[in-house]
Amino acid sequence: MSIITVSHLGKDYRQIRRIDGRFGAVRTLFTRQSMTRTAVDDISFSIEPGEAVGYIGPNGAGKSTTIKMLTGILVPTRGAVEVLGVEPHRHRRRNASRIGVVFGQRSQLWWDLPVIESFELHRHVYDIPPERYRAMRDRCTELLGLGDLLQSPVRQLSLGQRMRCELAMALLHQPEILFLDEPTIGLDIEAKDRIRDFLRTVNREQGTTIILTTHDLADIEEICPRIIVINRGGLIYDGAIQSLKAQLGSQRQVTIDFEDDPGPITISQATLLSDQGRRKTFAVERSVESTLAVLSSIASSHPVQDVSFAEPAIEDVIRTLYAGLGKAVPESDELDRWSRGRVVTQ
Amino acid sequence: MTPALFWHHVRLRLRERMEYRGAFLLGLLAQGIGYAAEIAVIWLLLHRFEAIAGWMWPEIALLYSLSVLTYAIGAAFTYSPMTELEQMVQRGTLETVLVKPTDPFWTLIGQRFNVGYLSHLLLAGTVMTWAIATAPIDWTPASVGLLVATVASGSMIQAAVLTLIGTWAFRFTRSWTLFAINGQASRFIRFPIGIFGIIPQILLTLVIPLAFATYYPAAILISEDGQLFPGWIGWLTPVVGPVFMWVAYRTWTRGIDRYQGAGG
Amino acid sequence: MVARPGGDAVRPIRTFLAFLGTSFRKNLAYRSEVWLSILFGLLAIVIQAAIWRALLGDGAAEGITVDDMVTYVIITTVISAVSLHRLVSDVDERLRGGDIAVDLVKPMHYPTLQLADQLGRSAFQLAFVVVPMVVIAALTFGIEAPASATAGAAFVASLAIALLVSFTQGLLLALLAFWFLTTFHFIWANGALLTLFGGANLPLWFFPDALETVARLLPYQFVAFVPAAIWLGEIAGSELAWTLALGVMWVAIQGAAGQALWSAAVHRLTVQGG
Repeated sequence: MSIITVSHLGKDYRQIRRIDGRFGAVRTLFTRQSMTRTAVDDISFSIEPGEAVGYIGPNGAGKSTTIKMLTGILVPTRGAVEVLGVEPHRHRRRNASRIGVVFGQRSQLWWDLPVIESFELHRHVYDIPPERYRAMRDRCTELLGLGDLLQSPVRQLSLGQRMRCELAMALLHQPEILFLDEPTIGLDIEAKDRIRDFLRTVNREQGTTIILTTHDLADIEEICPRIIVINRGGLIYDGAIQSLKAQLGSQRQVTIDFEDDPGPITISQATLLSDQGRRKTFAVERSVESTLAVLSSIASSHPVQDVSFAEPAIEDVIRTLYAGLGKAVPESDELDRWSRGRVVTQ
Repeated sequence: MTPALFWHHVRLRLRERMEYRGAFLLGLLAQGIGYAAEIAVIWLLLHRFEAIAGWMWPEIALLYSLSVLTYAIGAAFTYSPMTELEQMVQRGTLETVLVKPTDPFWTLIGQRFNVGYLSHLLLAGTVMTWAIATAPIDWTPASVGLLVATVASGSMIQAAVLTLIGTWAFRFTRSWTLFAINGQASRFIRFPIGIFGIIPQILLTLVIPLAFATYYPAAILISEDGQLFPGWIGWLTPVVGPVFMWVAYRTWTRGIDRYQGAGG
Repeated sequence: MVARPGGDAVRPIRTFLAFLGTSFRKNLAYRSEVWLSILFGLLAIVIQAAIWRALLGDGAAEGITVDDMVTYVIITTVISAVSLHRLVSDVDERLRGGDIAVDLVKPMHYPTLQLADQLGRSAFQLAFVVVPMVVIAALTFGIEAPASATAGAAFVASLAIALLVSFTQGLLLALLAFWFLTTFHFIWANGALLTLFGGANLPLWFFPDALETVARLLPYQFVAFVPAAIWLGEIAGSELAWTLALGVMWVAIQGAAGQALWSAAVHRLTVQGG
């Protein structure tokens, strides 16, 4: 039984158009034209209890709109949504008591008061029994290392500290589904790691279903085995990250350390990505045969000290995915791609 | 949302304001001076001309104090949530209210309850005490009841007007001018309504029934008339507030529905 | 660097006008709400006119008739629509949002920049709000012409004084925000003085003598009472010259104080880093 079912979901926005041009000022005074913009179109997927799903796409792809429909904030224009057996917008409050929502850019804590005050209020708003509240609060405090932070006014917290508190609060009522809208935006590496660890633990230990939107694909790689990719309001991929990589990540990166600088090397099956003298990096076709062919042809002419491989980074895979669909994707040259990829791959 | 939960919100709000105690108190003082200046101008006017349409200074003072008192109580509930609504719609912070399992109207009011109207209350309370002691009022159980009901009901009318203006933000945003216009409209009800033309009287009685917060009940208390509508409608005051508040609440809720439908 | 026609003397003026024009166009974004602003002004006129009709009836007080007062009310409403006090809330907002840094790095005297900005807003108000409002008010309630050609000319001068007095006052209040990080209290306190001594709701000639003497020395009268009284010919002759001179003096005093406070504020920002 799916915990979330979305079928042929669509959402149009009505916008008031301002009239430009010479007498636009006067004309806007008297008329109001509206136009319709489709933000989400014909999206279908379902999510099982306990899954962790990354929901990604470029800016304006319709991620937030989908999340808003799943949380009952927006009413769909077309299609159907079912969350925990009910339509969220029709039973917004019932739905709200069973889900947790964290907005990366909108705080739900009381800015000038100690964090614990917001937690206490949350307890009353969600009507959590005192023992369950205390148990959950202490568990989150421990896992997220909140400790003394709970007694500090929110305004004194760093962004990372605040986000940890937001997360803890969203889980106090033990929601069955946790929605996270860009939870790691603007955070430093350490804060991101902490939050990712926590989300993995929550997903594994409590079986909380996680739906996460982000622009940092490392979030996805570390938390979500499954991704749903949308672009321009439509679904373009739904499945495991690994199989997406296998499908689209057709090249792997081979770094070779030579005993001496061999000078410029040209090999037909490989592209030279970076040349640091003794260390050279090539892009090679993914198949074992081509990798071996490249290695043996190099090793035959120059003594090799060490060889290392790197899998394609998720960024590259996703970019290939967008590009393959002929959609606009930010340009970047080959070297830049790989160098950024290296940060992510192990 | 239960009253206890609402009160919990208000308490947090109060503690939040107390974090900036100095600024808060200075704010009260500054607003107090502002209203004192307004009273002074009306007093100077009456000092020079003695009466407006037969209403002497204590009677005008009663109108003024009722207007400020009901506004202060009503606005404590709905002013901040409704003026900030526009920004909340634009920035998307309204969504944090909509993911809560509570009524969005009461959540918003609780979260943004404004405790900054203390100087209004003090000032209006003082002026009103003096006015009802000085004005020729025949104190009977009915008139006492009417006065008490007027404060309660009038506050609801004022809160409702602000709520209706806030609802505007869902559709058109930029509700600021409307709040300013409401400030202007409040000045109508500080004077005997009969001095205004027929249209303002109809509007303030039937459309935006602000006149029930001050003039109609006051006219009964001091046995004056001179308005378009019969004097007995002042006895409707206890009903007008709750009904109008209910209408405003329903309109606001429909605004939320529309927002959820159109997506801002 | 190539010298452009017009030279350096004209350039600041051109920049000033450019900022003024930008501000005007920026305000065009609010055009869909102008009818609300017109309504706002008309309500003020309706209320005041009704009060004076009730007070004066067909008679007169101190030689002032209802028609005089209706004209008086229309003019004070016009002035409050175009006055430049709004500067305070704008600066307050930019200071708290941190946008003030952008203003400070512009190669222009910040107060002058603000003057251009506020004048642009006033020009917008004049074109879209004041003109329709006055037309409607004049058709509904009637408006008297200036008492004489001199009164008309002096009114224009007093209008300029009104703009500058309100601007320098707004500037002073805005600059206080650099120290107190809020202007809320000052806006209210200043508003109280304006309500009482400006004369918009109660002309100074109806004040008790002692209070009138005080009000006639303060700058607040220039943002409401003085222009209207000049229009009606109630301030004329040597009193007119003296009043205008006092107005100019207040502009100078407030302007100098504003400039001094501005220099101190810049010093504070650059030395202490905000």
